[in-house]
Amino acid sequence: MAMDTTETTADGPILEVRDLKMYFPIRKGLLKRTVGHVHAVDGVNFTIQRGETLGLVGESGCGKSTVGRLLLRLYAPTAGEALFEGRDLMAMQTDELNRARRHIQIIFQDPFASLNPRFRVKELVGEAYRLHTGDKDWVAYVADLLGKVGLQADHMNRYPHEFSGGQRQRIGIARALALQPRLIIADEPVSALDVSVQAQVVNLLDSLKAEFGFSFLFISHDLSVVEHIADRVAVMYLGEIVETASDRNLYQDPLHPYTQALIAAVPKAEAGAKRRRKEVVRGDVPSPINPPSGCRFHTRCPRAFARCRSERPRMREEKPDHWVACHLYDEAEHG
Amino acid sequence: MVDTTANGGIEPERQDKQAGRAPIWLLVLRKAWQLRMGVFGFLLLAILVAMALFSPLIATHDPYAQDILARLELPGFLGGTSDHWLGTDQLGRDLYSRIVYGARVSLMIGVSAVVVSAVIGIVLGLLAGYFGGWIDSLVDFSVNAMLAFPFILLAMTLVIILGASAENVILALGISNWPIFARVTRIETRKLREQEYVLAALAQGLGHLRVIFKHIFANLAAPLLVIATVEIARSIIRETFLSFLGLGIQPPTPSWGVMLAEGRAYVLTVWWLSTLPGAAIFLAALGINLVGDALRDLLDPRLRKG
Amino acid sequence: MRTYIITKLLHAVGVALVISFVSFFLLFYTADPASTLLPENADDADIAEFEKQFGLDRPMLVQYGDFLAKVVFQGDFGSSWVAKVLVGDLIGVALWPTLKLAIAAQIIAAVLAIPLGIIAAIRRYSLVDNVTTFLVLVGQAMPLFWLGIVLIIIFGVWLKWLPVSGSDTFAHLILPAITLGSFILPLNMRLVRSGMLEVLSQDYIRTARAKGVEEGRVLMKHAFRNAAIPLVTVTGVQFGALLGGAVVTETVFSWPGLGRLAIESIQVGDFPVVQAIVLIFGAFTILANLAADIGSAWIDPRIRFD
Repeated sequence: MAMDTTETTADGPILEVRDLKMYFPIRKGLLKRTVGHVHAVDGVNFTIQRGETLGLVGESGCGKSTVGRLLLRLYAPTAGEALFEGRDLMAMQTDELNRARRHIQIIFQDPFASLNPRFRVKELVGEAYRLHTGDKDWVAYVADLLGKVGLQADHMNRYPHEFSGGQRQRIGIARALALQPRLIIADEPVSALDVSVQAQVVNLLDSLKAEFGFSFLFISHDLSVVEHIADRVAVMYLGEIVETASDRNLYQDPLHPYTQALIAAVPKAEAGAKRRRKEVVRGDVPSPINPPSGCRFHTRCPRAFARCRSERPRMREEKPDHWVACHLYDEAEHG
Repeated sequence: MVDTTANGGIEPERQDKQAGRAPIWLLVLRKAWQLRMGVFGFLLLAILVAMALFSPLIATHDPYAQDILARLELPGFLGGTSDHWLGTDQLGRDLYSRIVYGARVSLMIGVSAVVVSAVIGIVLGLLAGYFGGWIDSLVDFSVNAMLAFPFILLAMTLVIILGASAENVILALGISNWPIFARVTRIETRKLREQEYVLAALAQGLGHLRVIFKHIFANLAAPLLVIATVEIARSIIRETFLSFLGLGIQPPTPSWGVMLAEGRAYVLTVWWLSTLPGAAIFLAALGINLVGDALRDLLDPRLRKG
Repeated sequence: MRTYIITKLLHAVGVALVISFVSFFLLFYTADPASTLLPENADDADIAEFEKQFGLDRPMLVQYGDFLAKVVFQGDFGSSWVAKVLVGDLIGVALWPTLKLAIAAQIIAAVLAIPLGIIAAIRRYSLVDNVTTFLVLVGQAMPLFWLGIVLIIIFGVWLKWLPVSGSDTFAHLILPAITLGSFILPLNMRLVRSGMLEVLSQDYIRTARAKGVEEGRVLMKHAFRNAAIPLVTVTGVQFGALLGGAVVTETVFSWPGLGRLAIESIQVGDFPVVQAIVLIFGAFTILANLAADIGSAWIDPRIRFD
């Protein structure tokens, strides 16, 4: 069953993203001239340690899904590096890329759109495994996997439309697991599901992670889901990461005004949770075509001052392993 | 892909409202009408295919056998008394048997020409829609240029270049008609390219060829089959026209187009000589179109025309 | 809007250039004018003299450039090899009959298609709707040249109401126009019907009805004007088909138009004439497409950003 022949670097982070950028061109008129760009991802940096779960959160449209798809080179990036076990995914040629993709798998948001309607479950889950390994017993392997994601082996010959949303997402998870990846990217894996099913699928992912030992990038707009599953959290706003911290630090002590607003908006269930001043984020998300100057959040930030409009804040380690990009923590003003 | 309403995506609401308003008996009648047209189409197609496959069994005479003494015999329905129930042509050949053998020629050419254009058009459409970029621009431009070419003149020119024969008619019709397939395939491929299940296949490290054929083409097969059906009917009509002009099948091969052309000289007196082969063309095309309509309803409700 | 028009214009010019080059290329390598047109006993000197006279001894690209320059700057298509007159003169004589035929056919098709399509859309499942559907199916399966022959037999030979060939009087126009009109009728009818159906289900129609706007006014003023968009868009594509149909119709009725001229020229290998007609048909099709693109962008501004 062991299909992995390439060597694994035992030390160092599994993924290191450096200054990743994705500008989608807007073409118009004569000869499809490029008249502007959607700054979907604009200089993103983060690291995922081996065995770690990083939660990537932000409102819809902030570019977090684009980051997930970029890591698999489903789009051609504008700039930047993504070192997977030390090798840059963004610089790979087709063959090398296709080999690397086996070690990184993605779970999509929409359990209806992400399964080919003409494939049976066994083909959906086993196709890539069979082709990459040539394993004659691939059907047994698929049956085993289906069991692990909470489906039955006799579901194997059915088509996707015969399943519920939650079951379909389990098929998608089994497909991602089939190649025994070292990193799984889950792009809003539960937000299309009923609330009652969401918890089941999150718990399933949690236990599969323990069993298979993959590293995990969990992308979601839902802070409470991320809090449940992530070890560390990165907060994204308009194509940039504004704050990164451990799960506990981020939720207990958010530093960036945007993070604070996001957390304040989450309904708190725990009785003892520290009550915060109610901060509602004002206004709409600005257009990513012409993002605001300086700090991108300044148009909606309750605590913005002059410098925020002109100067882009840099990431600083404000507390141990707690990074934030915000002028409020500049030493000159608040030293 | 989410739309699975049985009554066609374009106008479900309207249809529902109308259905609620229309009396039941009218709906029943309509359903029966649809079914009857479909059944009628399959019947016509079955006859066509049977005539093509089993020509020697179904024909009553040798289609090439001339009988100078029995030229231009009256058909049975006009009071003819010979054993040629549709009469004979200007060379005394049995008209019925020639029509039966003509089915073989027409069907063979119609199907082969569509295979040629479908293969060219689908491959180009898949490549253009999948890879985009310069190949997409090139295919799009070629499709537009081809569609601005007067089809029949292009096909005629090609036949003249290649020489008039069955194989070259197939090539000429096939080469002239690929843009139809390329256009549809290209547009649909572009849509499917962005589908998450295609992205998922790519993310699994599958090669482009596999993604194109197993994941994209497999989901295009149904609408393309419907188009191919209708194009077979059109190719049959076009072949008969080329043959009618002397640029297709050559005499004495029994082709409906050749028979129509030969009979045209006798329209003043022996009118059935040209009209009966023409009726055969019409019924063959009608049958194939009706089957195409039925297939459209069965395979892909979204493709239904209003 | 201006860049949209310029884009489309450049595209059209590009397509026209490609058509001119491809047709020139095809015919250059097909036509062997010296051997087809000179007497059989012509010796090498005669052939050389002939080729020199028509400039055929030069390299292909030079000939093409010369041809293109003359067409573009002088409107000169060269001389016919067979008739020994200017191609432009031949075409000038044949152009008007074809236009007359096309316009008459378009009028017949529109007069029938618009009311039938509208009634079919308003009264779905009614008798008119079913008859319309049936006509569309039959029309698509009907080989034009056969329909022409049947009409000739019925109205010319049996009833003797109408002349069967020639083009001198209005009576001569009736049968060819009906034949060609029946060719484009099905598509028109289908478009009017589905366009109306789609528009009738829109909110603004319901609003107009709810506001008590008179039903006839709702249909004509609000619905039909919007339903006309697909009709305008398809005019371009249909125009090519119309010209193709004209070739067939003119052949059957010996109508002295461009289509018949094209076929006769192809059959005798008169390369400059064929070349010119292909270009003219292509140019008409491109212009119709262009007009349809710009027209529909003008009616519906959203299209420009497509």
